[in-house]
Amino acid sequence: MSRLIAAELLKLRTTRVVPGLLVASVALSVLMAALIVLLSSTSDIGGGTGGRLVLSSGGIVAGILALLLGIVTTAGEYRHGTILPTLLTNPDRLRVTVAQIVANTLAGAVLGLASVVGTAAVSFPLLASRDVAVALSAAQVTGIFVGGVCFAALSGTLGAAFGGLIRNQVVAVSAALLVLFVVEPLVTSLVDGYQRYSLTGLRVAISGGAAESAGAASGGLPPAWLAALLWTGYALALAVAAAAVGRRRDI
Amino acid sequence: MDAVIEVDSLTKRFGRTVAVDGLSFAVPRGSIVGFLGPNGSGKTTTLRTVLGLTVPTAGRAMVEGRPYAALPEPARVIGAVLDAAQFHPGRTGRDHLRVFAKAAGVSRSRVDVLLRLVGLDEAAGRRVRGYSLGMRQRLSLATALLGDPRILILDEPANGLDPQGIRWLRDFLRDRRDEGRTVLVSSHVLSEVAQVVDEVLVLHRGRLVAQGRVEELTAHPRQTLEDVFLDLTRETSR
Repeated sequence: MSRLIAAELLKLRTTRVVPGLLVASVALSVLMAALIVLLSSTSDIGGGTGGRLVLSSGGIVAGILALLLGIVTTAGEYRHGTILPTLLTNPDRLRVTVAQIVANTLAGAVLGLASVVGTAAVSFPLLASRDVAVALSAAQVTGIFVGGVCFAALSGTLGAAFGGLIRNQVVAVSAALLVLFVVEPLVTSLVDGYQRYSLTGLRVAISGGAAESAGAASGGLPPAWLAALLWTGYALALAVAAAAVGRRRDI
Repeated sequence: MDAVIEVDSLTKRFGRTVAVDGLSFAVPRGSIVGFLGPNGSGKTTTLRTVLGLTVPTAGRAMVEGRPYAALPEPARVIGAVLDAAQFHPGRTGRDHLRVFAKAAGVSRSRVDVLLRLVGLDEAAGRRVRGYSLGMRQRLSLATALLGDPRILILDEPANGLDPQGIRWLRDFLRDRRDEGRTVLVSSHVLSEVAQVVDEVLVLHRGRLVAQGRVEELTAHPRQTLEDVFLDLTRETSR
């Protein structure tokens, strides 16, 4: 199994997709954090909610890009035909699915770590330049950063499982974006408490963001550990579906 | 007969279309077997089923007595060149081989050996999107050879190769046979196949319509493999 995972990691390292997304993730995270700090009033960003909004931006951006990375790489196996030599070398489709998921989880963690570091490196000096002290304890700040890395890693997990299930890159990416940015906000506005189970709500909970970011503050969000567990459950359900369907599929 | 590939009553349907219809044959060890048939005769579907990529509707395909998926180290048993894209265009030829060498547990030095063997050593650092069809075919062959397999399955391997490449491939296949290895080669270029194969399997509409040594099938004076092939597929079309 370890050499299969190493091969999947080598696949990720030998195209420009991962370096490109890494640069994009850090740049967008830094830009988002800087814009929030510079364009918000000091009273807004000085509170706990504002502080969470600034410091969680790295994890959230990295998570969304890690989700896309997972989809693009696993569905891309079918698009480019690399699934053929992959399965000829390792015909156990379940093991291949697991290796792809593990590799994308690790890649997501790297994206998350780089983006969180970038966010921290920009946010604290900018906040200090505006004489804003973040109203969060050291433990809360650490929780936001650790949550950001975990969220990006788990997004890689979910993306890889989803891409393996759908197999068509364009359809899978479009469906993911549609769910995240159209379906979930709509359902959240219609169903009380839905954000406790939605991908958006779990994303905010894991990455330590403010509950308002999930679209509905009332009803709150689950604790980060429970949100991570739920997110992992969603990813595992997709992975099991991908593996089950994949066993009987013609390649 | 010591058969390395055995296909037994294999049937594959895609919806209402029967691609392979109760096909049975065996490929003897240490031979080059031509797998012939018109377009849509079921050749590729059969090869993909042998390789575990297509799930049969009925029957079975075995490699050295096991289904492909049950082979413990498949890359060391069987290598395949399929008539389909199998490269990420943004990955270099060398990196493509490194990925699958790692997956197969093959040393990195084997990658360089194979790049030289197929004549891609100078182009190995270029991304595959810039490769010609012939170069991609050579890279496919190098991928198939990573585990130094005992059996090769080649689906239209001469596609895109120039005359030198075709000559090289022909000599390479003969060398493999002389080493006691087995090759199952599908092709529609009958003149090429006739020069190198020991025996042929002829498929038409998913069924086996002839099997035998080339000299047996072309026993009549001045009759070529092409004549036999056209006769067989014409008769069964009626």
